[in-house]
Amino acid sequence: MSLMKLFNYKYFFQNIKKSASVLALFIGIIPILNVIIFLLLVSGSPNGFLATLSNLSILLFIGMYIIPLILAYTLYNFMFKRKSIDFIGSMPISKKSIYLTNTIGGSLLLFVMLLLTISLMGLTSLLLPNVYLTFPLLFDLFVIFLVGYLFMYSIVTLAFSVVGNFITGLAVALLLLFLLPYFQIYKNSIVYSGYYSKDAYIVCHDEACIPDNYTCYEYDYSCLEHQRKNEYRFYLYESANTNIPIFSIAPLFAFFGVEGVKWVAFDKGQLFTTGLLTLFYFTIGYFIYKRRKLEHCETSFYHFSVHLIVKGLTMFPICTILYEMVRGQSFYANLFALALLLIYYFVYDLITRKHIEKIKVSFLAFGVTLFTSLGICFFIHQLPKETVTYFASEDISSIQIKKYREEMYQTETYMVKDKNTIHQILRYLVQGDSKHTYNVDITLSSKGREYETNILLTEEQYSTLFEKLEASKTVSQESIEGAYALSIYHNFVTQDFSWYKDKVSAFLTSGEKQSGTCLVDTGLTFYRYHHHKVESIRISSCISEELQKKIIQDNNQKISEWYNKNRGHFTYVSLDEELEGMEDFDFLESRYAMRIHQYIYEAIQKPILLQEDMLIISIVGEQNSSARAYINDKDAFVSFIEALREEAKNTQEYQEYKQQLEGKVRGEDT
Amino acid sequence: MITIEKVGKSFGKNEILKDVSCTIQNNSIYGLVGANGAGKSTLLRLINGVYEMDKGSIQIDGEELSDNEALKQKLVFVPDDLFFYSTYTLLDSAKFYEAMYENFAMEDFFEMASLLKLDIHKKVSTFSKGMKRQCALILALATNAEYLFFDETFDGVDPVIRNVLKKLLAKQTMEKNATIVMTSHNLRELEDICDNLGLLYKGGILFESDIDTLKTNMCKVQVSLKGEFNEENFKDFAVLHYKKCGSVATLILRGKEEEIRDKMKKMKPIILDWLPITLEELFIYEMESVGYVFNEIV
Repeated sequence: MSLMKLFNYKYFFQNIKKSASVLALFIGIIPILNVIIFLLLVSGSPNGFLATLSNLSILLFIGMYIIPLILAYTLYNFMFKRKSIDFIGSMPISKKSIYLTNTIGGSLLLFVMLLLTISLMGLTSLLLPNVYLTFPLLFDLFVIFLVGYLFMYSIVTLAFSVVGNFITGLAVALLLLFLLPYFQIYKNSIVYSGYYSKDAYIVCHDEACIPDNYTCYEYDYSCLEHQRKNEYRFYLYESANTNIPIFSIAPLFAFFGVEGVKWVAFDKGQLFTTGLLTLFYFTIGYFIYKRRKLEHCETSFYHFSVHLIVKGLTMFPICTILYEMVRGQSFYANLFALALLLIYYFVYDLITRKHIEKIKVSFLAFGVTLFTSLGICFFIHQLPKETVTYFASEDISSIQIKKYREEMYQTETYMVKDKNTIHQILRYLVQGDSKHTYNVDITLSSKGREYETNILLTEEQYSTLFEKLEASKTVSQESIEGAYALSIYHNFVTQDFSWYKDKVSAFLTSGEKQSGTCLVDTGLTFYRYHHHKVESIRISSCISEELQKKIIQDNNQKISEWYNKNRGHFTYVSLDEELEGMEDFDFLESRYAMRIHQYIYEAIQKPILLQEDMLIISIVGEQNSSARAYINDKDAFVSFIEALREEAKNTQEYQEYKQQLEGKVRGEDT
Repeated sequence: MITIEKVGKSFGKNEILKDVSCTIQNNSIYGLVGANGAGKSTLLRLINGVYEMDKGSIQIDGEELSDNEALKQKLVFVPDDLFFYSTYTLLDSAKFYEAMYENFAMEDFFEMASLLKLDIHKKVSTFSKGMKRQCALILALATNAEYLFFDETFDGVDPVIRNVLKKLLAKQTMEKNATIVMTSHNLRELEDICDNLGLLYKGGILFESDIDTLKTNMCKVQVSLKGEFNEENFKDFAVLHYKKCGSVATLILRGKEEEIRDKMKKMKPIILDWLPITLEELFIYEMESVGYVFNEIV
């Protein structure tokens, strides 16, 4: 019999019709809520919203756990009540037809819901001027979540096929989803526990990796001894090999609240394995459901022994947590933990079976579960722990360095293989500047294994390093041609940016070197959707004067528009370079903000001259949106500020401010 | 025809049905009686494929039911605990049945709903217990299934409507050749409608017979003879029950009415009245004759 013959659309329609609210949820609320969230995100990015897989996934990701569960419950809840079983069970529809109808129909419903959600999001983006979204990204988003939703649906369907009530179904679904990942996380947390802030050493056989500024405390003889041997200490956080392999099967396993959204990625392998697993679960569910006895309802399982096994499995995570908490504690603490477990064990019965039965067997099973769980905990604690402490600089074949890109709402990973850059990063790693601003995660690859740690960088080190990494990217003409968005600083250009594409393409084709002196490198970042992710390609604005001028003009024009739209809503102005005699700028800025903004507004209307001195002013607006204005005639600006100072200097507030400022300076000096 | 052979069903250690065997003829109304917990509902659920039997076989028109959709089209089951989708009106429910049953007759449904004055646009969940029962019955009848099964058929239905429903059931068997199986723990409910009766006791069919045969083979008479008399005077009759009150005795006798009448006349009775015998009495004395105390069974 073909699948379509077993799909009873009349039954499916009636099954859905009975839950009109659920239908409304599917067809109406989710897509609309998603659009609302989308609009909120867009409105939170006044300088333009660059869509990525992550920032479009928030509601879809959370929905992935809830929607398939609600859908499966709607379609299968008849199995949990005797009278509805009598009703559906006596209808002229076979069990396999019910299962296949619900599976195919439910999957179709999820398909339609996702299609509607993503189409609506796409259409909304077309109506908004400041949104950068490409069709391939939307398509990938659709595919990722379709696979994810179907996977979750298959799990819940399978769970409902074997149980007699909803709460046990939920327990089984959670076990299928999280037990294995939990076990792996637990095991790793024990086996690799030594990695957390563990002292490790970079052994520098190569002079290039020796840090210029490495200090040991005066009496830290161990440190000094290591330094003598060219061994430099750093903190190793964990071995990257502690990654949870099962996360690579399905993004669903990687659930850690909204944080999980950051793991949403189009990974063909992951999607394939998830798809296979979905088919597997659906197939298993089919054979179980076909043989299912409908008389088994309103209780957890038909067989008490299965109930005991599942209950034992749900107890395992609780047991491990309590084991870690009371290990080495007093007898009473252990007794308390045991009491908690016992309470859980029997309350579980009350919830899932409404009564406690076979007390003797239950106690025996409790004992077996407890000893098995404790045995596993004990065994894991006996596993050998990783002890790698010394890393020869020459063994470090590569370093992955991660940068969180706010505008992309995603982390970009740079793979460093160049020895010089590796040494530079290793120096940063061991010397850690106390005045650091940035904490950057890195992964060292040594002898085929990966280790995670971090480097502390100052503003300057950070920009130097990433400028270098950006510059090392191979920029092809194709990557520029395929760009769908462009940013100058954080401002996305709303106009047609073909001029920039042409200029950069022409430059790449000619292979010319940078011409002239580069006064200001504003940077130009192209974005393209490539290999299923948003890729940034940074081009230096210094490649030609014409480009620099155009960038600055467009940037200033954009700020001008911004001013016109949000006059009076700017919160802060700061100078990007220290100008002499501008120590009181903060005071003047807060007192004469409107006049300073007016000055900037007028200044950016004037044509920019690259040959003249240029002043860069950062402007912060609502929702922390910021921009950099470029103006000529520094002297005029200084004179304008002086005039303001003259106005202010006789006021009491200014006098107090000056006194405070002088006091601070004296304090710093002493 | 439904043939049930040695059917057994247990829930855990609780054996509900053991070796139940019976035959339900086509185009008849079969009444299944038994005390609460005798296994009536379980047997109906097994016949309708809701439950799966542990042993034995149930054949409907020579076919096994197991997940057979085509065969299930011939059956409709109204359980004792009724179920309707909470958001559905009676009309919605009818549409559900129409979607599921190929032969569902919407016209018949409208006609019966109108006869019973049921508001088809009202949510069934708002109806009273008796009205819900009426809804379930007319929906089942409108399916035009060949075999209809009703568990605790008239539970909660008032006597007037009960009679209307009985007529509808009778009409279904007469006009549409339907076979109806109905259960009750109350014999009086079934006596004027059933053709056959089966008594389910302790998981097995204890007694099965067609009502006509039962009725033609048993008589209830009130008799008074000249002078003193006792049960010995009736030793030539097959007396199932004898009770004397003053000078009048009431007897339940097995045998054909004509033969008994002839024999009685020969005894020249002062009083000889033929009393109507109820189905309950038929059962009581038939059971007593085989050694069971009926009141312990039903």
